[in-house]
Amino acid sequence: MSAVVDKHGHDHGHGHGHDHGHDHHGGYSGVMRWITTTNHKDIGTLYLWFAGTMFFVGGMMALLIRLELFHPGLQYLNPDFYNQLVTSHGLIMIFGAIMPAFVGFANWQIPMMIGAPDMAFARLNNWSFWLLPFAATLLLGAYFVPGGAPGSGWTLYAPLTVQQGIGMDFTIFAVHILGMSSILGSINIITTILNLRAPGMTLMRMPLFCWTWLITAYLLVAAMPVLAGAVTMTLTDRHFGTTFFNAAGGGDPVLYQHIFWFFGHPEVYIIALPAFGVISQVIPAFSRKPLFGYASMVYATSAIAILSFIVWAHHMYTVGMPVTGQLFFMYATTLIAVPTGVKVFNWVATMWKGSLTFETPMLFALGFLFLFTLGGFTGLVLSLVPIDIQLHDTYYVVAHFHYVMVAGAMFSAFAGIYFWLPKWTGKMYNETLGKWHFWGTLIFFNMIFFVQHFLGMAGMPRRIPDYPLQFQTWNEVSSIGAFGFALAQLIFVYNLFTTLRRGEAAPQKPWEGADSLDWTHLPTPAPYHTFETPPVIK
Amino acid sequence: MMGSKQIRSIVAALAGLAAFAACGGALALDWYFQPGASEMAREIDVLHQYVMWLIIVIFVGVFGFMFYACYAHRKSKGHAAEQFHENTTVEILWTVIPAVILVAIAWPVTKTVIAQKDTSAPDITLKVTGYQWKWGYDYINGEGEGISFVSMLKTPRDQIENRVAKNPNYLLEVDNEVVVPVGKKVRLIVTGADVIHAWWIPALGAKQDAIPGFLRDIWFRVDKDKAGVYRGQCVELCGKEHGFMPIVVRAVSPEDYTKWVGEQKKKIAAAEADSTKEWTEAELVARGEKVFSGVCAACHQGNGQGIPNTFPPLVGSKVVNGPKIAQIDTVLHGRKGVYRPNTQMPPQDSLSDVDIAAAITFTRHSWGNKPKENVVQPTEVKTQRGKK
Amino acid sequence: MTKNVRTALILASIALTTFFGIIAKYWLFK
Repeated sequence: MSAVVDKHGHDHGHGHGHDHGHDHHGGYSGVMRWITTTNHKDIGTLYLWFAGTMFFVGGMMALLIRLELFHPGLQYLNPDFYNQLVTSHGLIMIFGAIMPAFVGFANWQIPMMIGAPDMAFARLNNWSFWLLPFAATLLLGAYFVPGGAPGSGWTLYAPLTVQQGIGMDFTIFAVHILGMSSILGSINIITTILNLRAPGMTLMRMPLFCWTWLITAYLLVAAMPVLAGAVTMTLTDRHFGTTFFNAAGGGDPVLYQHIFWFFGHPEVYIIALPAFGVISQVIPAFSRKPLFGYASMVYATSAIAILSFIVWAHHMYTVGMPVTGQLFFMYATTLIAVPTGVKVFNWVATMWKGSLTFETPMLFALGFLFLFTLGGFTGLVLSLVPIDIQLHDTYYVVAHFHYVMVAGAMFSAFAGIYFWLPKWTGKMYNETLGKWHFWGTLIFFNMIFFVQHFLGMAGMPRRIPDYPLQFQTWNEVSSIGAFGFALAQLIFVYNLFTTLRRGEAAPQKPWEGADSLDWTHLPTPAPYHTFETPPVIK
Repeated sequence: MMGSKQIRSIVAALAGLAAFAACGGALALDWYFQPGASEMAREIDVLHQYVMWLIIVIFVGVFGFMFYACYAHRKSKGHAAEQFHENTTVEILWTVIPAVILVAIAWPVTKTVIAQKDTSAPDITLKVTGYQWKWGYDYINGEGEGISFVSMLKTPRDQIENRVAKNPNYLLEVDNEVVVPVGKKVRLIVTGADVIHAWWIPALGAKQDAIPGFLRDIWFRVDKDKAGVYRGQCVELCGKEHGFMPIVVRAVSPEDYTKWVGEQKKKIAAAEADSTKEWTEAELVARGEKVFSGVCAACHQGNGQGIPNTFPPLVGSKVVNGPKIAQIDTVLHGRKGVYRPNTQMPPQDSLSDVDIAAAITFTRHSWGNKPKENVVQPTEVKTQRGKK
Repeated sequence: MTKNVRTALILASIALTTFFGIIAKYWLFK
């Protein structure tokens, strides 16, 4: 605590966070500055604002879903529209909120952490971001065409996708654009990390955040084209008479699932690994102690990435594959628990005998550690074929992946935002509000999703707009939790805007234990251009 | 030091959690698997408990360390950070021990996986077909061979749309239940007619995706002493009415099963007679109203108005008010979507000739529709069915 | 060709090969 608030009795500043000289911004000002920017910090900022906006759009969809599920019976939404919301909520949260948020972190942090002046391909970087608003327009625009948005779930399983209206084509093109954006962004990140490190910054000296992003970027380059292929085949099945997924023409609907999950499981780690990276920066900083096993963390991350390509069919135990297939995918899946365990043990060992303080970034990191591990354990339960067959496509699965996506990725994103906001803006957020945000998020998150384990075990299928009476009470608890969760996020919005507008000036190094180049070699806030001459790392 | 604000927020958090836990306990809700009615369901339960206890022990252990560190190694208590890191022995141990635990988990599970897949030597074989949005059942082998029916949601729209109080088995009740004898191995051959559905009875631990164009099989055996009704729902998103196509299995003693088979055979004979006899207009309209509200109203709505831009209205419809042959064709074979190019009204050929004739006759008598040809006989449907 | 461009081209060709490869595989060899 004391490290945070004690040092800045002066100069509250009324600048808008971007009050740098305009000559630094390529000669443009206002909107044109943001459209034409090739600066990694600007682009990082754009990614983060985009992700934040999509987080609230997707969140509103979730609230509508929870509103309808508050009581049995159909009250507010018709089933068709309900399915559309379920689909869009998933797509927007994954491709619009979580992934861009971590790309935003990567843009801001990777060049500063490895001592590079910018990303390797600055103009490509601009294009990678500006593809996203087009994709979002297509995803949301689908609601306004005849037939509405697709109602097939974010997994877009054939042959249900063939029945959808033109909104499905909008979504397919949106996925293409999102994929292109991710691949270009990843190429940029890999090239930056491999080629632009400062002298002396060997790979094994990089902050772990850079390592997890390097591995994630490889996963993206390998996995996103697979998704693009799957939706392209869906497109040709819909309009050009192919029968990839149609048994009547010699195809196979299950083939779609194989291809989709061959992308889909690496995708889980595409989301989780950068989150691990953020946590691996935050926990040592607030423990004032180096990461316990740096090398083993790097190896564990690589092992998870490699294993993620041979476990896809654990999403498909109920399609009726041969027993040998089920056993192979079960064994491979349980194996992932080993490197994941190594990571959790490492984080706890890092805290052990440290000198701990609990500012908001650390609280979110601990929330992550506790709840993500819980999500990992339910993942272990679901990896076991007979138990999964009982729980597949129930609310247990919904609970499981929200522990991974929300308590995992989103908690980590909040940890990162609170951790780096002073570095980025030079302003210090309000610690008390940050803590309220954390506790509100933690409590209401569990209120929404912990009870969904019960619903799933008792037999409630997922993706239904109405449900039998015995599921009523837990659904009520869950829905109330959802609205509490939304309120807690408003605390964050308020804190963020007041910090940007009139936050106290941040000290040069608000976090005592932070030791990456951005904290040790750069002023706070970080100037618009950094490391134009590379630092030398001894 | 820990600020008073911090203490207050922690106390508030704990109070919230306690209230939450208390409300869970007090209501004594369904929070675990339904009691198993087959050996497989109980085996899944046992495996789950075994894994859960292991997990709880590990979880408490790992986070015991974390919370102890949070308590004892905090800066506010003056704990100075030690700078140790990397210890090969520890790192090998925490790689090997979890791997050993995984083997201990995988071993018993493997046996269950193999048992679950063993569909050999069934007493009764049933073909299950998922339709948008109902289930078709054909008894294709063993006692009851030849019985065939369609099973769909019995809950009235009025309950779903909150106009009247809901039944205890709301959304879990069907017109035709699947009847099986207890103690007999039942093999299900599962397939889908249009999109992927999934057949599931939680209490029997049996779930299988219904994939169009492919046959997949599973099996279950209801315990000898567990005669009763077991309910489940479709668990694979299959379009608009995905939440409204339940599955109900009634397990009866072998004697009662034999009796049921006899009744069904009689019904088949009677239906045969029904579909050849001449029905009166009033009979058809009365029966048609029931069929319509059970099947057609899901899309075309109870008032025949449909939903704008999604489901076409039948009020004033050219098909309903035109020659009846066209309407029989539409109902039997479905029709390309009016609003969405790639959708279609699904074929309703799984309905009986009598039901189709009655439903069509009903639409031709309702909501101001006054076509010249307003009565359709089952025989006409039969003729038309044979043509395509 | 700079080192950066070479890295990028290798990665881009991996992505394109995967995309066209997966479609071609199921189109040509069912």
